[in-house]
Amino acid sequence: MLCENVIPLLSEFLDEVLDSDKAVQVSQHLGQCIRCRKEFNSLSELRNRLRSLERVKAPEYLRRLVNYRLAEEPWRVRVRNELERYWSIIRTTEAMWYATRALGTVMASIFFLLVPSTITPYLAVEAQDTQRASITPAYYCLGQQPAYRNNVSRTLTQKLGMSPAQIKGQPGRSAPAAINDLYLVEYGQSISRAGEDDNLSVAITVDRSGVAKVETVLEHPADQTFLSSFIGMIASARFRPASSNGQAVASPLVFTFSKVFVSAGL
Amino acid sequence: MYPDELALAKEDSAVTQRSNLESAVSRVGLTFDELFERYSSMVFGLVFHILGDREEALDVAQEVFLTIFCKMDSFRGESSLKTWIYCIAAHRAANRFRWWNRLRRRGTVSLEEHLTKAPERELFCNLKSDIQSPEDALLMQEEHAEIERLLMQLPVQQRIAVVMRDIEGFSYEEIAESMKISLGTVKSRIARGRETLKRHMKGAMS
Repeated sequence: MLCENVIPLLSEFLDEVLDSDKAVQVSQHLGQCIRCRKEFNSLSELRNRLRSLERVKAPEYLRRLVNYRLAEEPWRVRVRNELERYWSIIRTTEAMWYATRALGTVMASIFFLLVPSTITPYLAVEAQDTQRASITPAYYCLGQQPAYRNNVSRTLTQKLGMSPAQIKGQPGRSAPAAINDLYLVEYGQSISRAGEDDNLSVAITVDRSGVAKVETVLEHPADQTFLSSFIGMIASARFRPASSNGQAVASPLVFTFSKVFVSAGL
Repeated sequence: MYPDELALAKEDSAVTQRSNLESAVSRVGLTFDELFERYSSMVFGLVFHILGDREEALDVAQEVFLTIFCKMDSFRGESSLKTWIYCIAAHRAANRFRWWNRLRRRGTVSLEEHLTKAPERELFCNLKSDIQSPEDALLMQEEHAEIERLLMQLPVQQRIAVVMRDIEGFSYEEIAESMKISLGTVKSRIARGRETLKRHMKGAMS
């Protein structure tokens, strides 16, 4: 028997689990070959060293720990064992570990993409087109002549692509106030403290959640800060949305402001 | 529910479970207490040699006995109780041996292990036993630590096979049954494990 055939069998020969024919051959070879005998002796020495390792005793409190765990509810134990089992499969398999991490990353990305889209209010600007005839317009005009209001109304309906018949009621008269007047009072007070007399007309859209957005400036004021402060005020205000068949819908709204400068001397 | 009542309820639940277990264990002629007494040290020893960490071994040993508790009904006596218990222990330990956690924990030292394995204490214990000189005791202690260290460098499956064979004294058949592998695989794992250990030991000595 050659050395390269004998060496792999030495472990089994040492444990006396080799079948008798091979054991005889290995034994004969070891009697002749110094190198293989040396290998065998070092293997035997290794086994003796391993056997000499102290037997570790379980600590006394292991029993108490087990008892404590046994006292827990069985379904909890079962669920935890199962979870730990699955988790240990994942963490002990490198491929599974990386696959789980990748899956987690993808899921997290999807989650963070989905959440903002669900919490952002839905703007039903297009959806209301089919029900335009039944919309109760939220219309509000301040301190203007009827002719001027009609002119603004006409301009607005044209810009929004609506026919005058689709707007119910008379502009500026029957429409309910859809904005908290307090905003307007504060706004009027703040802008009247400086500058000159000025006019401003804008068309805004109030969505279903009551958030307003300036769509068109129908009449530009001479003072641009007048407009920008108005836009700021509109953005910060919360409107009561118009209703259609008892449900909140988006609606157009026109604001016309006339600013009258109040001199400090008066 | 007050804490005392909760504790009582837990005790009741434990007693009920215990009685269920008694009937299951009667198949093998042992109560849970007897089973624990007989196998706790062997299970803990096996798990400790596989993991090389006392805390983790404690944790896994608890899990093993809880698994025995939960799965006692499914034990049909097809294998011996010993190999069944060792099968659970070996699989639990192998699962626990996760590559990334070992890497992270390699740098940490367990306080309890440090205290219980303090050189002075070890030396004292050895002096009380049959070893004569302190030098011999120290040498033996160092040698054991070195073997443990080399053992931890083996791949986990080979380590389990070598530990079961050379430290716990299992037969090849028992190892095959416990690890649910063929006899040939057991032989090759033990041979390869020993060969690697021998090579490492030579390297360490040189």
